[in-house]
Amino acid sequence: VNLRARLRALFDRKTAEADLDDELRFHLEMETEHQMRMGLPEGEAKRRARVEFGGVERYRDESRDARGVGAVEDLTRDLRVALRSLKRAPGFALISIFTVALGVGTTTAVFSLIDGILLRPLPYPNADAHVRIYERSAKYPASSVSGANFLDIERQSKTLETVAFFSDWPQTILGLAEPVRVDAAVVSARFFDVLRVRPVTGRGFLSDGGRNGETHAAVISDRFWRQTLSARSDWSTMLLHGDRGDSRIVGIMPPGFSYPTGVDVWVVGTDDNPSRTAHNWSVIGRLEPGARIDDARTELDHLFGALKAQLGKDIDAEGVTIRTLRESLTRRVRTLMFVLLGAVVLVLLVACTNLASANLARGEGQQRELAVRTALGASRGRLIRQLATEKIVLCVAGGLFGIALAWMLVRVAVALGPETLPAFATVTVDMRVMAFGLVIAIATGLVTGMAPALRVTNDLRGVAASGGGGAGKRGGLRGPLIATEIALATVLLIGAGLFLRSFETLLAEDPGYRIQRIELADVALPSAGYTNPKVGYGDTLAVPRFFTQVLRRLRATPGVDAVGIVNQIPLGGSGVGTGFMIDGGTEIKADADYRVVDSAYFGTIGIPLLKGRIFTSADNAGAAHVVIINREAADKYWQGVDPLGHRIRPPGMDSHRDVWLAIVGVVGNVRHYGLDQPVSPEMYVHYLQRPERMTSASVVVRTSRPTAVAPAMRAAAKEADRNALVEIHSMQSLADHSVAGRRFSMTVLSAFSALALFLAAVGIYGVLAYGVVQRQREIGVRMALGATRGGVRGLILGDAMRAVVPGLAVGLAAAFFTTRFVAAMLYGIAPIDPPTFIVTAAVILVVALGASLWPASRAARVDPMIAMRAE
Amino acid sequence: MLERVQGSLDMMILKTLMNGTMHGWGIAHHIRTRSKDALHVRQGALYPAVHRLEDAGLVRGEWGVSDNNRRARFYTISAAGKRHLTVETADWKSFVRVVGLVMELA
Repeated sequence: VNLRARLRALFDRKTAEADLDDELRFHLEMETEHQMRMGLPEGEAKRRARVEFGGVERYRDESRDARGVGAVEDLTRDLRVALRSLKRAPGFALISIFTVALGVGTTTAVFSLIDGILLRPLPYPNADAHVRIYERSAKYPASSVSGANFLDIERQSKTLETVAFFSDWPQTILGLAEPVRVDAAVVSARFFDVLRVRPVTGRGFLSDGGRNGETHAAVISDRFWRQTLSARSDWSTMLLHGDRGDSRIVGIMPPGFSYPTGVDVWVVGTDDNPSRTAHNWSVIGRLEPGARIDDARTELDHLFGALKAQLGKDIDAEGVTIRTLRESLTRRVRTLMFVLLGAVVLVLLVACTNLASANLARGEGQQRELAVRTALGASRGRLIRQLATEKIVLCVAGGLFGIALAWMLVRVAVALGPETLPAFATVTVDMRVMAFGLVIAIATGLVTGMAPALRVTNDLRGVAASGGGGAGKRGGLRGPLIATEIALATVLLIGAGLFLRSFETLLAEDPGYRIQRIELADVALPSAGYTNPKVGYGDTLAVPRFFTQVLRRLRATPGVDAVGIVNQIPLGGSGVGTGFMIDGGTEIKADADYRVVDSAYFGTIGIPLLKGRIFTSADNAGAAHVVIINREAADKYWQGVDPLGHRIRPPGMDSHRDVWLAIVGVVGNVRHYGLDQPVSPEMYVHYLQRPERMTSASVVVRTSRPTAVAPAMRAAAKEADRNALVEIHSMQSLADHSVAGRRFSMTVLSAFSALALFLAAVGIYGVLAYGVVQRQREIGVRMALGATRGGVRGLILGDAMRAVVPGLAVGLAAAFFTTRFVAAMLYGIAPIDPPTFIVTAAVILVVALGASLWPASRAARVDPMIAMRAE
Repeated sequence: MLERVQGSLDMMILKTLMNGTMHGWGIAHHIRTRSKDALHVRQGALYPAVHRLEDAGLVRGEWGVSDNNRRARFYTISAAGKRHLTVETADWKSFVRVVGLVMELA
């Protein structure tokens, strides 16, 4: 093999090509001379020589192939040809790049969400072995685990290598310049062993080989160390004065470690409570090597079955629910991710349809050029390769823009959805996401570009002769393309419409309390002075004294229309429930949420009194305890009976376990756990009578001057105790937060469906406009034969609608069968919501009609004479 | 069969070059006259074949000056080319003989 010649041919392309031309020209001249010697005149001799010569182009191709430089050489040449021919069709190039960029941008953005949330490994070593364990009973499929049950799991399980419990426990840290509220968690000693993440500085908790590890130790996050402790080097000498007493800081976790999500301080704890029904703990475990999650499920189900048989009604769990850590972290957003994926695939399909019809039109426009090249000897393979190069150039360009778009979209999504996207997920457009985007772009280009290319090059004979773009029966594919686009856009629009409608329905619903003009001051009292150290809950004298003073001060503040307090504000994210006995009974008959309020709370936040009375100043510490229930509790436990005057006793409630409360009033229901959550039965007690659960509470102020009142609220609390921690926010911000997830899905889906609709409109417009140009002659003939302009316009509109209406029908039918998959994500409407379907159909028709109008009126302006002379 | 045709063109080029150094047109012309105008080797077939033979080291190409004083590329058969021709010729002859037998029998 003559390597030198090959290399030279490859790298010294100019010389090699010139040599080839020389050799060729020499041959041509020799042949011409020869023919002339044979007696032919010069002109004829040249012609003969050329005929002998064969196809110029094919000859060169083959000679080059023979030299083995074809591939690289062809690529650069194909690129040059593609760029040149695209320069001649800038409209087509721009539309293609734009369409690919939109399709690829949205798809890539959603892929990077899915990649970050569902595909990427969790940031813990060997995270697949991590499981979350819940108690399972007939009533609650997955509830927290009691301390005693946890100890049994830890002692007896053979399928779990290590287990640990943890529970979020926000604490107020004193002793720094300002009291600080931190997201803390109480965890068992082996917590970090389970996750296999160790502190980078200092140490973890001493587990003493079992549950009797150290106490009063805390590990802090890197962020807490840097931001709150200003990265002090003497951190190991510090005691954190928290709500659970003092803890020595023993270690600092690596940056970025955040489990449970958002926690900055981990305090070691044990639980000796023998109760099997105190569902206090989240439990995480690590499977033994080789054990599968099903093994653990079987083993623990068996364990709990045995416990149930032994303990009877002292234990409510009947088995366990086990989920992988990933599943437990992503459950909430998994469906949303699939819905987004479905939506974005529809957008991409609409984009593909547009590209396909643009390519089809372009192919027909190119036919003549291609036919000429075929006549000059270019093989079909060459032409196809060149067309493919053109498509790839467009798609790579579009893909690059698309990746840039995805990068922006991801930033927007992350900004929009901090409450929606799991905190562990790192959602970024990295190399792997970019590679995905480019693959999608190129696949899109080849799929949508090659079918038209094959079709066009399939039969080029006679095209050159007939002048190309003849009046043949083309465009047969255009109707179906329009119909497809319409169908896809319809499905997406209906999906988005359902989310929009359900969001509106949700906002229109009465939550049972006022949201506007309510300012909140969340107050957390330090444990020192306010928590009774012997029993662990609020001091019955200090706590009411503090809040009474705050209330008195605020009542006198100008701008405050009303003020009240509640220990757990609706939408605040926490709630405590308790079982209770009724009318002297000794068994728990019912359960309800337990809230502590003052008498003005109901009026301030707008919860209506339905029956009986609210608290009065007579309901003080010395008086007989009274309780107000909500309508849900009344309907559920006193069906058809007047609940007023009946007595209840919640035996778990603190220092008043044996005290009976008389029901004095019934108030309206509230949506406490979320605007889209069902109401639960509730009981309200008075803070002067039962202040134990008031060490943290919200001061609720109704005001029309929030900016003036907020500082007064902080000042009032600080005045009562300067160590009190105060955080000001509003009911509106809680409400926004409560619907943030739905707002996110709705916004993204609406954006996608708007995009699909826009693309479909562009597609319809493009196809019709091109069709009008193609049919100019036919239209000219019609007009010459007496068709009116209105008639021509009607003709084009009619053609469009013949494709749009079936597309719409197919889209509606498809939506009819697919919307059920999002039923669980909807609120207050059925997946087959007639208004949504009707409005969508109307929108589609209007948009399609709008997109057809311009091409139609252009057709009507065709000048019959010019049109007929055009060819 | 295609291979045969391709091979026979290679063989004819090599055989022609046994007469001495020649440029491309000379090879084509030689084949044309020898075949009494029956075989017209088109350039589209000739030059790829010649270049292939050159790359395979069976012929050597060199730029030179033609009889009428023009720059032309001349081809000479190499030792490997001669050996190849001997083998090919023998193959060809036996092929022709076998086909002849079959055709006569048939």
